[in-house]
Amino acid sequence: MRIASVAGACAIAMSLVACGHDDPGTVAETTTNAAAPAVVPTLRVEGGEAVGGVQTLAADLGANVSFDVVSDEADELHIHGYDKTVDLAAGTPTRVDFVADIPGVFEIELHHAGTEIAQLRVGG
Amino acid sequence: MILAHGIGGRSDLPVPLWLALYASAGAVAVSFVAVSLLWTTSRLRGSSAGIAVPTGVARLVDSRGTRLLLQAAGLAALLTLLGAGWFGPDESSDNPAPTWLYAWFWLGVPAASLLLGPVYRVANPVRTLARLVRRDVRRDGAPTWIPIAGLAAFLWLELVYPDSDSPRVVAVFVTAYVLVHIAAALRFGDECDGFAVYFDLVARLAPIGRRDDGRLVVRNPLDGLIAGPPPAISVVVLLLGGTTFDGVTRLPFWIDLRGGLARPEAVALGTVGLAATVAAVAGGYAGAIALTRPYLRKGVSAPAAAFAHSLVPIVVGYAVAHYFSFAVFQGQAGWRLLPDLFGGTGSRIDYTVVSTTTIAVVQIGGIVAGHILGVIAAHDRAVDILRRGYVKVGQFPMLALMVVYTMVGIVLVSSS
Repeated sequence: MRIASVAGACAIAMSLVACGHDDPGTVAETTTNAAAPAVVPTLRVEGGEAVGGVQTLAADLGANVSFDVVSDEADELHIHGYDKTVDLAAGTPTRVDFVADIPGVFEIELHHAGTEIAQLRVGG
Repeated sequence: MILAHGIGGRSDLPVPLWLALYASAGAVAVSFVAVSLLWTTSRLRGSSAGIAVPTGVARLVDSRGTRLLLQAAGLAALLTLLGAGWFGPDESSDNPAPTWLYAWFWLGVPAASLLLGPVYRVANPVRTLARLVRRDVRRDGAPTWIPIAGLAAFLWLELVYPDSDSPRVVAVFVTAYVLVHIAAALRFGDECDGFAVYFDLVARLAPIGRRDDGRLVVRNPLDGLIAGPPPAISVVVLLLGGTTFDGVTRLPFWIDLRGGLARPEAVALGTVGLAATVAAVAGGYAGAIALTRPYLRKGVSAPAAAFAHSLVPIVVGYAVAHYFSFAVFQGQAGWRLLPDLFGGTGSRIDYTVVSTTTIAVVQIGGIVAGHILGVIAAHDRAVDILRRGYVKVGQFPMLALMVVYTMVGIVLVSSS
């Protein structure tokens, strides 16, 4: 599968260059798994709505994205573009963790409530 | 566009600020050059311009076989869309029908028209079906409100209605549209079809067209723009307003405004937002025309219609800027979801086919190219209808309006 191989190449190349990045002026952030951000953001959902409005999660291309979701009702989280679905149990924090290997702005929404709770912005 | 949960869901990163600033400055500079240095008597010749293509090519294009093939393709595409929409899975993530309507038809046919000219005039299944009912359908003279109502209904479905991505909703819309427009064509003629009117407008910018002696010619798109009767300004303004509104809905302030609203309120907000955006675009045009009026020569009675064509390149530029990445990415679902129609599992959209830098360049390039063509077309018309001695000052209102439209377009793609 092409997407998987590109992601793999990105992970390997990450410490050297910004993968898929056409602007030679910027240097990619060198992130390693060990240096994952200490504070993981939490998206809180009550009654099918994001607490505090639609949140923004920003990530550099190729970086690791990690956040927790807590919903007071069971639902299914869907991250567009990445086509990830995560089951949310009522009241239990669920960790979402993946590599941001597709640039663009993506909706993160709840399938059952049908609402957008966050935007994932992956810089190119 | 972002349509409920199956379609879209990806939008573009903001265009880098430096690129947006250079593009804006360039657009303003070009505008002043156009007013000050370009020709002082009208140069464009419209439908009398163009170099004839070789007879063999013309004969092939105009042949009965080509026409029948295009008509058959149009009918087959309509039937396939309706079949998938009515009988396929009712999820846009498992059914390509919504993608066919919103990406292939609504964006793909204008792209084809821009390159090849008015192909949809032949392929249009509504036209073909109306002629199967009765042979002598009128070609022109339909009241303008009918295509406007049809386009407005589609824009509302696409940009406001929350379940616009549902295959059944798409099937209901297309079925109703086709039936209503067959009836309208039989009563009022071909020009009732809003889609056809829009695609025909875009086709004016194609490098290929028909000269007034009937020959198929290669010509300057600016000549094509003024070939034929002036376009209905209300259609042009509606299209520009629709695309602008789509850009507005991606701004953080709109997302905050809409988040937390229940469904009826969200629909009401969207309806008001769409109408207000179209009204703002129309108000700007009416204002610029009112300011131009004092400088018109005697006998020029309809300045609003006289400049309508010059906004068509701006409409096309906006559409390219807003929908290029959607067409390239979501368009893939049109074939990738084919296996899902029959219970299988399709492949995922490849978001790596164009880079974010390419997308940004296409977005800005589309807006600026549209602006330049629009300014030149307006200049050529202005030197023809403005009073001598006031040609420069008389162009400023339209020029200012175009600069504003272009700035709004650039702001929308650089601040989402």
